[in-house]
Amino acid sequence: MRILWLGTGFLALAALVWGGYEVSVPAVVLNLAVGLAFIGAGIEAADRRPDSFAGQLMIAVGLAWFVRLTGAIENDVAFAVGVATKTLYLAVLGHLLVTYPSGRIVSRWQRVVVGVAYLLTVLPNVGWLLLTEVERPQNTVVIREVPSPDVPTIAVVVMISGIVLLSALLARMVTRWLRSGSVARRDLGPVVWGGAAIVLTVVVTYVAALLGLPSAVQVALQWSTEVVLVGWPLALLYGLVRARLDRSAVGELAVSLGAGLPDDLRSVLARTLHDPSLEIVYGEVAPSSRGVTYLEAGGTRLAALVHDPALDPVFVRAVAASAALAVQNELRAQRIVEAADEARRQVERDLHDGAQQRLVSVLLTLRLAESSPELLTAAREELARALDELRELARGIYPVLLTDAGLGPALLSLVERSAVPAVLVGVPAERLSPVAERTCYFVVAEALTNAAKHAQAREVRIDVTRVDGLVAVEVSDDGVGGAAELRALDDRVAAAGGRLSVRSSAGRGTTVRAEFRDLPR
Amino acid sequence: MRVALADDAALFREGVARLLTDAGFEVVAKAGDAAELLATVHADPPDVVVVDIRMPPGFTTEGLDAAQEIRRIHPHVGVLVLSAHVEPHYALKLLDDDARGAGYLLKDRVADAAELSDAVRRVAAGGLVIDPGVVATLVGRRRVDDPLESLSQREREVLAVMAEGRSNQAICERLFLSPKTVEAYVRSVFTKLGLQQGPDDNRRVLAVLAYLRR
Repeated sequence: MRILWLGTGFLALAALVWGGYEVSVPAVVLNLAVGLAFIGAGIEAADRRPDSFAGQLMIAVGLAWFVRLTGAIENDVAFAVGVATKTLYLAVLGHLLVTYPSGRIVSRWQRVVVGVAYLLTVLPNVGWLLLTEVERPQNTVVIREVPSPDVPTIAVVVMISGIVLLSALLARMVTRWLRSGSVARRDLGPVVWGGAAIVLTVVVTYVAALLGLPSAVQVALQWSTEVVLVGWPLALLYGLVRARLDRSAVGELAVSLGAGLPDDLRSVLARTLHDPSLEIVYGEVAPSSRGVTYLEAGGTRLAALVHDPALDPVFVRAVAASAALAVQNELRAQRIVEAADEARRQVERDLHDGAQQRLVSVLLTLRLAESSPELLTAAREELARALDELRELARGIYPVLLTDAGLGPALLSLVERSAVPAVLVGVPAERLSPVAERTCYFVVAEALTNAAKHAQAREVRIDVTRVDGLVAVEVSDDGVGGAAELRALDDRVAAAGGRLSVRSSAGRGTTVRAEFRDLPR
Repeated sequence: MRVALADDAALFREGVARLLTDAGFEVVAKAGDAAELLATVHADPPDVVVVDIRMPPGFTTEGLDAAQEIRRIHPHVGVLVLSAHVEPHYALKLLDDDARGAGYLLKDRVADAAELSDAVRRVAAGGLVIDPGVVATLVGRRRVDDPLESLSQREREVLAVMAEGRSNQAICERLFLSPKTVEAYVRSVFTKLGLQQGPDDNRRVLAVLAYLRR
């Protein structure tokens, strides 16, 4: 790449200095500087932003700029090439301006503008070469102060078209800048104003040529264009790299979100994205011209970021991914708390309606038994029922067998009590960590309950494996299938750092599979 | 008959001690935890130990562990473990291949003094006692192509009472059947399930439980 930069620069210098014409030092310096600035900045941009073609286009502008310098060589062929490519750089420049910062043509109007620009810059010059008798080559690069010749009609048409096209481009750039959000304004500012200055001076140069103003004026205008052209690639490069600099902010965001969801997620994200207009929408997003990026986790849309459309999509997606993770964790934590509260309410109801009620009856019966002892039997029977209920309740809350004896015996106990016939295919012989054993147990318990309730299954098969620290629990039934709502389990497995998948299709049964890591203690 | 008793709940311990005394047993030791029980048993082995499965300090299976140790060191001391859990796993932990004189009973059963003293006597005599609730769990398990479905209602009842560790004589009394009828039912159950009749009652219990657990 450095060879491209130095090599083309040297060739351009050689053409200007030893081409055979006399070229002033400022003209040499400015011409070299413009081409080298574009190629150099383009190489840097292509390297830093591989996702964008803007860098390649900048290199192309520089090369087109240098190619036209062949016109500075006193030779027929070089003259022809110089004339043919005299204004090509303007078309590439327009191409770059229209498609910046992605460098890609995405809409029809862009294609039209770019196509017309290339036609306008190449066709008339080639046509002129073919149709005009030229006695001897002239320096096409540097306008000399000679009495202006008559401008041919075709040149008038081309220049007017060029002026119209460039003016449209200029208007479009300025309106785009005015409509942009603050981020785009900040990033696009130097690009737009530099571009506007270039376009303006080119337009003025053309107008000056059309009006037949003295060539001294034209020379001054061309030089001022070139001065702007030297600085402008740096503005382009800054605009491209700036978005990339912001990506390091994604890392910082992920770290800060890792500590928990902030009270005001919106303003944190707005700060990271440099977009004060950012909104977080939970639910449906009304269609608008603003950019929409979804916060998604596990295929579910949690929320949407509505943002400045000029933001680099890759950057916004990275921020959205970090935020999605944090929001998902928050929702999950909320659901876990809610599930725990709901379980407490259920235990309270079971105690109140069951054992507690029976114990009150026992108390009453014992009171009555003081006068009629035959009631003692009734009291004893009622008490036995209360005990049965308490025992089942206690077992449902937490299976002591799991801690005392491990996963195998606890799962066997579940299987023996299952309402639907169940088979324990396999289970690791060694003990797992307590959290792994609990996760396995509750996955199986929940999946069995679910199968008994909805699957109309003939049999459920349970298999637990542990290979290289990866625990897999699979509960499959041969029932009617159809998706089951196992959100609580999903949360439980996620809390163990794993994932739950449910495969279910009509008539093919349901397979619930949980996978998570359980490293040896 | 000399009985040692261990339970961390003083009220329960005293209540059981009184029931057993009333039923004609001699309660020689009352312990509040497994260590205390083991010390007294080692010092002066009784005929039977009645122990709560869950005791200090860990409140997990200290009683069960103590019962296993006693069976190992004093094979002639019967052990009866009282538990609040209807879990076959705990019951079967007591029963190795040549198990004798061991029992697993739900705590609730102490309300029936006759049932408690019957269990203590059977364990003291070297028999096996499995709580009817535990057996019901095993027999009630849902299976695909359940071989138990080939049994008649009566045969299932006989199977369950056998699994509780009762002799043919006890089955006669429990189900109001003649000894010959019971023998016929037992034979038919074993044939239908493809089981071998063991040489004694204990082997028979183990075979039935192993069958139900597989």
